[in-house]
Amino acid sequence: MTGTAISLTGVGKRYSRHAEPPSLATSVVRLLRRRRPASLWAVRGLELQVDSGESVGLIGRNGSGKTTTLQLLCGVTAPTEGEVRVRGRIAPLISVGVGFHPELTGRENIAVNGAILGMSRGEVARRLDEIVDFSGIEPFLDTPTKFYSSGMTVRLGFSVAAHCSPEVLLVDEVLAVGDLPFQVKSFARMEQLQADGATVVVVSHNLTAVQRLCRRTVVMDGGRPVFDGATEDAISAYHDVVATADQGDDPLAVRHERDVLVVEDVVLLGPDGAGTAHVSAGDRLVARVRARVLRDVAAPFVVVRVDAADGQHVYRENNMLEPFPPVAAGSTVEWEVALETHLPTGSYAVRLAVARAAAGAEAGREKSLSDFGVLGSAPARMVYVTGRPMVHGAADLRGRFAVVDGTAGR
Amino acid sequence: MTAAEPTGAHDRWLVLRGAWTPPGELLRAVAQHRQLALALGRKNFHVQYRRAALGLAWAVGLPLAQAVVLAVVFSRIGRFDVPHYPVFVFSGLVAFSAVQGAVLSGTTAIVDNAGLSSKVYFPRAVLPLAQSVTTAYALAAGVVVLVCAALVSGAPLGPRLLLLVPGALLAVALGTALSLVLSVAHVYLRDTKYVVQAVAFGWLWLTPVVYPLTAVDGALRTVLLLNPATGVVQLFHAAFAADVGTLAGAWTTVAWVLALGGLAVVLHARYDRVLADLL
Repeated sequence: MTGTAISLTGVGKRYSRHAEPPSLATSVVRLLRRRRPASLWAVRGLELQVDSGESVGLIGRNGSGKTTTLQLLCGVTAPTEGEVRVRGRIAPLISVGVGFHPELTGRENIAVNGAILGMSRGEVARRLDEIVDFSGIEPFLDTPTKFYSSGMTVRLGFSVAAHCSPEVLLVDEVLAVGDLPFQVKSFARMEQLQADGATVVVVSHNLTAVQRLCRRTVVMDGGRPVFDGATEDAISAYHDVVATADQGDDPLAVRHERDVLVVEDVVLLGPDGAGTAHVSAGDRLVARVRARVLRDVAAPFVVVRVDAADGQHVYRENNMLEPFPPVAAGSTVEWEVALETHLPTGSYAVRLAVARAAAGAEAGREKSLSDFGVLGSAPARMVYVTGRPMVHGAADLRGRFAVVDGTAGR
Repeated sequence: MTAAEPTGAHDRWLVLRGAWTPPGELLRAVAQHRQLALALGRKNFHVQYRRAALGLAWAVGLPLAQAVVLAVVFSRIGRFDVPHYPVFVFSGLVAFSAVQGAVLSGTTAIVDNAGLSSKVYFPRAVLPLAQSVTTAYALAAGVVVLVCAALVSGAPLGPRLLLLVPGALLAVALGTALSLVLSVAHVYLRDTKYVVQAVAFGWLWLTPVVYPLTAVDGALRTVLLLNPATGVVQLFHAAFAADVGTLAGAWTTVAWVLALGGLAVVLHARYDRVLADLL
């Protein structure tokens, strides 16, 4: 099957911003006030062409219009303007297990869920063995799903959706269902469907998954595609978009001493000294902070902290024991810390704060951040590290594999 | 694609331009999803009665209990001139509660399944239709018990029993048409459910269920004749009566079903693809 599978032209979707579901009372009030409800364009000016058999990732910040795009593609909602065209049987792999009823048995839920996904009874019957095999719930097939563990439920949901031979598969953040062995199996199934010629659209914050499944990725921001191209480049573009995004609560922003110093800017520089949001594992990454000093500081130092995208704390260090030289009020200073990025593939948040030893704290005996007097900090800067291919975990310990003793044929 | 793909859907395009779905396309989509309506309808029915010890018995037990109460009360205070009055009341109630049940559960069908509708596309009409399937199951069980009850009580049983077939079909058709319209209204105005509940209560007394149409005259009679449920109840009554009487009400019901059905098609064609936005 060749040709275009998905075509979006000039697509826009406007939602009215209801605070709550409409009721007679609010409608009458609105009618009397002759006020139209406030509205919001979730996506606008969306152009996207996807060939049959192609896999495309869709990444972007929360609220960038990814999910609306996916809803338009699966026909759950119609565009306010423009045209959506999708060819073939569409299977949404969105919050799998939706429509499962706890009182029904696994077998009955497979039948209902299959019907929801557009399978006929005959098809469900023919694929039942495959579905049950894949999900691994065979011994509980005739048990009501309310007695299932949550893992069993999602596994069964994924299995049904992944076996309805979709031509267009729409995946929304469901690649991380079940335990590790099941995730591995799910990935293999997705790759099998791709090999069979399915067109796949993946929406995910898990960039590693997107990178693995899609060669092409679209970055969305503010309801529009801002980048469309190779996944590697898209991930860089995405990090440019989020690089300055406020990351919410700043774990370094504890016990700020006010009016001592203002952090003006933090930048990440790659090995070539230029600003970057994408490095290869092992590259030198420099985090540089610029601060305006309001009051003299005797022994300023910098705290650097790196967190993985899933929030896992990767690394923290400071130079409290070897602080920078004193700085005087009225000056502007720049400090930097160079990091060697021996990390597995993924997104990382790099945070910097400027601090001095808190009054009364015992030098060199830092127990927590509150032992510092934090003078200023900046929102996280995001960086994507392309790791060495087979490395997983929190850090790359640069394993070297060698034969100590043993030759062929002995 | 797998070669064994039976649907041959390769070249079927989903084309969306604005909210409006051409009615022909909508009806075709509903027809394609009939398996889903049946599956969901069966699911509802199972779920409703699975936990109860007496299970299915409740589906017919409730109208039966209601009929017993009404028959006892009205054979003391009303004293309508109707032979085999308990069978008269029970048959009327089986018919009426089928319509009422379909409307009450169908009205909230789309809103109640919000989780499903915002994830997967299928014509939203399938949800109230599934409730009608559930109602049809319960009605079938009710009719069986009704015929048994009539047999026991010695009411005349003859070829007129066949009137139950158009009666049951019309009951389901009316309930479906009403709930197709009301289910869309309920998405936009969440008060609809309460309005329907209030109206449904009064509706029973404005339908000749416990009394014959002949017992009423004047303006009230006109109201009863315009009431779409009257025709359904009349058919059920006639199935067990010695004298069929007028069945004019049935044609009124057919007219209502056609009008409401047309309205339902227009409403769903207009709103089918945007209902999920408000769920």
